[in-house]
Amino acid sequence: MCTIIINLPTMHAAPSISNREKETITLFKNGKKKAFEELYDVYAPLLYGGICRILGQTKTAEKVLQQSFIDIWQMKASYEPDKERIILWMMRFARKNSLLIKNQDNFQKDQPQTIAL
Amino acid sequence: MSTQVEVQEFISSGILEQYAMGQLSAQEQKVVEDMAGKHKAISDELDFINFSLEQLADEYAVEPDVAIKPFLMATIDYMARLEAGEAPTFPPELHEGSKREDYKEWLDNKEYELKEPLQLMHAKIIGYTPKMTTAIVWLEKGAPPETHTDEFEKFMIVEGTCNIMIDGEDNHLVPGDVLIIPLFKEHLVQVTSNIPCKIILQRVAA
Repeated sequence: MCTIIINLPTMHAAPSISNREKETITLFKNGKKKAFEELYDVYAPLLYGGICRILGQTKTAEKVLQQSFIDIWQMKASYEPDKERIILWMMRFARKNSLLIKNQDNFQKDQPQTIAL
Repeated sequence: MSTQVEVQEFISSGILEQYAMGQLSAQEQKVVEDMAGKHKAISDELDFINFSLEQLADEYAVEPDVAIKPFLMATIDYMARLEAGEAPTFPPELHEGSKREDYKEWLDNKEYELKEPLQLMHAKIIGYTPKMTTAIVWLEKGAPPETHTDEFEKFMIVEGTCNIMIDGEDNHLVPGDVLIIPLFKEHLVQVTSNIPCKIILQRVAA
């Protein structure tokens, strides 16, 4: 058994978000498309920024953004507002999908080289 | 306590976020670094937090193309319709000789009418196969420039008029006209009518 020796400070991981956003998140979790669109308006530029840093500002990056928001919509019930800021939860989809494509591309680029060898 | 549970508790304590934001004492930082060195789950999580926090800075935000949201919402709408039991239909592929009549089944369907006030752009998917997506699209003003490298974009004008510029060249279109955008050519749409321009849009894998 191991004990963490430090005294963990109060958790600040979830900074205060406005009541309006809390309400939007509840509506989103309940399947309201308007609320989802509001979250898109606020967070899509951040997700897209992250995706572009991995894939460049390309058509592929746009598709990854779209796929990430489809995943976000389909997984809405699994988001737990008390555990994680919504931006972090959303970013997970953006990063996972970006890396998936990036690795796929590397794999495809590797193919001719392998054959050439 | 099992290692796995311990790692999980460490992650969910919020200490990694504080580490990433530089809020910990030197001693606490060392604990985090030791834990990250020992457990891949922790270093992965730390990477992830760093990645995300960086994006929070406005300077990293990139405004996505305005056409993405309407197509995202159209995709979600289409998935929900199929889930609710709507039978998939297969509109024919657009070609130079296509006529409005070929799409009567969809254009005359009340379900595929614009139901709310148009805000810039609205799309309704009427057919999907892995090779081809067909949608009815309403444009209030137009669509920003874009270039396709792996799919052909095809238009048929249904109502209103527009100018589709391809590499700077005008293509003034009226209802019934079909235009197929070549790959690698930058194009944009300007609505030229007082009413929204309603089009059938198809994206076909090259």
